Amino acid sequence: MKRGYVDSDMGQMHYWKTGSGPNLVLLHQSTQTAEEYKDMAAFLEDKYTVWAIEWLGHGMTDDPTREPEMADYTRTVIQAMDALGIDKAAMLGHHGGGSICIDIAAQQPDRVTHIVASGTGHRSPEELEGLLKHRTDTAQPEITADGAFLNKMWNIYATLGGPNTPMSLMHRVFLVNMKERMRPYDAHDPILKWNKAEACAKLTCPVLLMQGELDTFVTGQEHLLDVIEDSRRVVMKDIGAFLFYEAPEEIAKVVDEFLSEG
Amino acid sequence: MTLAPLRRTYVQGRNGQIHLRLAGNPGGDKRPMLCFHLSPSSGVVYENWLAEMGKDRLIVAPDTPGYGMSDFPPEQPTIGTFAEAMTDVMDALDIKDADIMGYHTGSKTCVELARQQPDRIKHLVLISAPIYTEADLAKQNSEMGSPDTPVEDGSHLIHSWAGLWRWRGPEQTPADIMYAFPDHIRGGERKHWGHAAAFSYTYPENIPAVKQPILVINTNDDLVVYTRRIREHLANGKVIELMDWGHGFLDYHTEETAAFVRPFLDQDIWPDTAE
Repeated sequence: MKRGYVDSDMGQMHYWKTGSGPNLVLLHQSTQTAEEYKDMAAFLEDKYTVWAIEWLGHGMTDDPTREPEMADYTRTVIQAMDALGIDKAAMLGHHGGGSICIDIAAQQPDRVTHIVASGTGHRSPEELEGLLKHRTDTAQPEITADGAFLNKMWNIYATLGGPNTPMSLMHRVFLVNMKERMRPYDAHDPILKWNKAEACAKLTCPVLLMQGELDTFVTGQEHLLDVIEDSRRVVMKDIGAFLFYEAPEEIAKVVDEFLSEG
Repeated sequence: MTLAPLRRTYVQGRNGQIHLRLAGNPGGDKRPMLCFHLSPSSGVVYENWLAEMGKDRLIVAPDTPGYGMSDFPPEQPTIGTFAEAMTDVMDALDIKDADIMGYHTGSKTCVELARQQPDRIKHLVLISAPIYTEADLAKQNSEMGSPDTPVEDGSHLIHSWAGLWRWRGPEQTPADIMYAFPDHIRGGERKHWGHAAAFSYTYPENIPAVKQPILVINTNDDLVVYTRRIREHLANGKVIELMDWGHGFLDYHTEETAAFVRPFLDQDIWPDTAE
C-alpha cells in the first residue's frame, strides 16, 4: 500500500493506493478516514487498482480555512483524481462519501463507471429539518481535565457495531473518530443540506445501494431505488454503521460481484 | 491551537514509507534541521516549531517508524533502527548535512545519528537527556515499556490520558492534550516500542563519543531530574535549565526558543544561561 499527497485548490489531499487493474476509488464517511477501507482493500487489490482519498478536513488531508460547501468537497476530490491520473473509475463511498461519489458522477458521467453508495439514505424536508436541529442541539462532550469525555465517547462507540463486532475493532474506529472530531469543520451539515435527489436523477451508471442492517444513521434508502434509474439494493445482515471495518471480506465480495456485472 | 503552515510528504526508507512534515525551502544558506519526536507521538508536536524555524531554513519533522503515519518496522526497533531511518530521510531529501533536535526518545535518536553520521550532523539540540539508575529504569519500564491493551470499560483511555495530564506543561489546556492524544495511543499493541527502544539505549555509553556541540534543554517535565545527570557525560555540550517551562513549550515559547537555538546552530553561540 503506497501513501502520498496531491494538491487541490484547498490544500494537500492525502491518499493511498494498492493493487492493479481497473480503478476503484473509495471515499470514507464523515469523521472517518481512509483507514475505513484498509481491510477491504486486501480482498480487492488482486483485481482492482484501489484508491482511497481522504477528503477535505479528514485524515491527513488539510483542513479548509473556511467552512466548506458540498461543492468544495466534490471539486477537491475531482482535483485529486485529476492529479492521480484517474480518468475513469468505479466509485464507492460510505455515508457522506457516498454523496460525494454521486455528485461526481452527476457532474462527470463519462468518468464514473459504477457507484456503490453505502449508507446513503433519503429524508423528507421535514425529517431533514428535524435532524439538522437535533445536530445543532446535541453538543459534543466537553474536553475536561479528568478525561471523562473519552469514556463517554467510547461508551457510545462501543455500541455502534454489529453483535459480532469485536471490541478491538470498534476501538480502531473510535481512535480515528476521536481525532476527526477535533477538526474545525464538521462535514455532516453541508452534505445533508445538499440536493441529493437532483444529482441522483442525473445518474446514468449502475448504482448499488448498500446498507448495514443495524446502521441507525441511515433512513429511507429504498426511496432512492425509485429516483436512480439503474439501481439495486443490498442490506448487510447483522452489520452496523462501520461495515467496512466489520465485514471487509463479505463486502468486498458483494462489491466485486456488482462491478463484474456486464 | 491553529495548525502551522507546513507541508507533508512521504519518503521511502529501508523499512517502508516514512511520513514527514516540513517547512521552509531547500537551497538556502542555513543548514537544514531535522526534528525527532518523543514516543509515543508523532511530528505533530513540532508543527509550530517548523513554522518558526522554516522562516530561514528547511526544517523536517519525520514520524518515527511505527508512529504517526510512518510504517511499522518489521521487527521491534532499537534506537539504531530509528537513526538509520533518519539517515534514509536525509538521503531521500538530498540533505548533505544537518542540525538535529530530539525530544525525549528523539534525543537518543539524535545521539545515535550523530554517532552513525559524524560528518553529516553538525549540532544537536536535545530536549531532555535522561540518565537512569537501575531503579529508575525499572520504574520507567513498568510504566511505559509494555503494550497498552484496550479494555471494555475504556479505563485504558483514562489511564493514558491521566499520564499525559499529570505531566502537562504549565500553559497546556485539556484541548492541547487532546490534540496530541490520538497519536499518543494509536500504536496499540506496539505503542511501547519507542519507549522500549529508548530504555535500552544509554547516554553514558554513547554520548561521550559525540564531539559535535550539544545543547540540552531541560524543562520542568517528567525527565527533569534524570536530565540533570547528563552534564558530566557531555564532551562538548551545555545544559540550559528552564524550570518555568514544560511540555508544550515549543508551542507556547516558540519564538523564545528560536531566539537561543538559532545563534547556537548558526554561530556556535551558547545561550547565556547554559552551563
